[in-house]
Amino acid sequence: MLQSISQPRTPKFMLAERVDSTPRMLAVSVLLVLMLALSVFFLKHFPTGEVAMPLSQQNLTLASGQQVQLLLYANSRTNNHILQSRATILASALLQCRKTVWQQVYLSISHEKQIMNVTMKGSKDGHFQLRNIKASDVDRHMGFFNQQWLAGVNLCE
Amino acid sequence: MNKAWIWLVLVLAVVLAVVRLSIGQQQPETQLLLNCSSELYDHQQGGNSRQYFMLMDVQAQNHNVVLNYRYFSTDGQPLGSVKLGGTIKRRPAGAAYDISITHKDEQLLQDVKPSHMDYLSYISNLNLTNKASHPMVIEMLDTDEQQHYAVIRSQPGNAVYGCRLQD
Repeated sequence: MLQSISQPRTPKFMLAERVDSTPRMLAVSVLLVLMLALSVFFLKHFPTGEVAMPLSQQNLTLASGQQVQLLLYANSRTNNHILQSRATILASALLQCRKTVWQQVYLSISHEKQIMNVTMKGSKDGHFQLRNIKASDVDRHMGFFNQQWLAGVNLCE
Repeated sequence: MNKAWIWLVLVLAVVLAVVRLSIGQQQPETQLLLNCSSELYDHQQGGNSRQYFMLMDVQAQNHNVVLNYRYFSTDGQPLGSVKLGGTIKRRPAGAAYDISITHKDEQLLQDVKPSHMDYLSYISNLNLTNKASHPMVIEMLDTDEQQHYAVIRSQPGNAVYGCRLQD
């Protein structure tokens, strides 16, 4: 009984080609390498999640019932308090428009908090409209960016 | 038994080749033409404010790209320009372009320099002097080929632009 366990049993039904496993091993390795190449290839060519997502977006409804979408773009999820606070000012300025040509408003700020970017997109009498505003501030606090200034640059138009 | 393995490997190789070929056809050479115009407002110390105007064009053909920033006073006087040239590569998903700027041509025609120009000049100088190449990224945030516009974001600077898109 003990002897039968310790001694490896030779299988009775063994195919002749199984004895020499080299070609089979080679085929398996080639197959594995090919599968690996295929996965790497697909990963490189079809990456997901590449489209830049806004930090936040909100829909504003004007008194006239018109909808304006405000989109904020930042490089990271943190340390965006200047951007957020300016967005609040921009949103309330937009809400004060009786009517506006803009349907979408993009807001972003440079890394060094030096340049503020406002891009507006909409249509007027069936014609497509775009407007870009870039404002810089030497003291980097964007203190100028207030209701009064936004009214001065005719934000609604 | 062995033959089956060889066939499987062969079929896999053929699939790989076909996929590679079809992707090569799907992605034609990069071509991008954007015209962007922007109002510039500079806020200086003491509450002074100045206004300028900027035109920014992106021209990409095959692997080459030129970004031309031109600055004007509000009455249309040219103030200066920054022309960046280099190579461009479209990312596989197609929504962004990686740019490597290798040379630039800068002109200042008047005494005044808008701070946007100052910033662009400074940041590109920094990389061109230290690393011989200034990396940039253009992301397409919203593209409408029917209406001929694109909203893009350019890095460095995290700058959003609404641009006319030319065919």
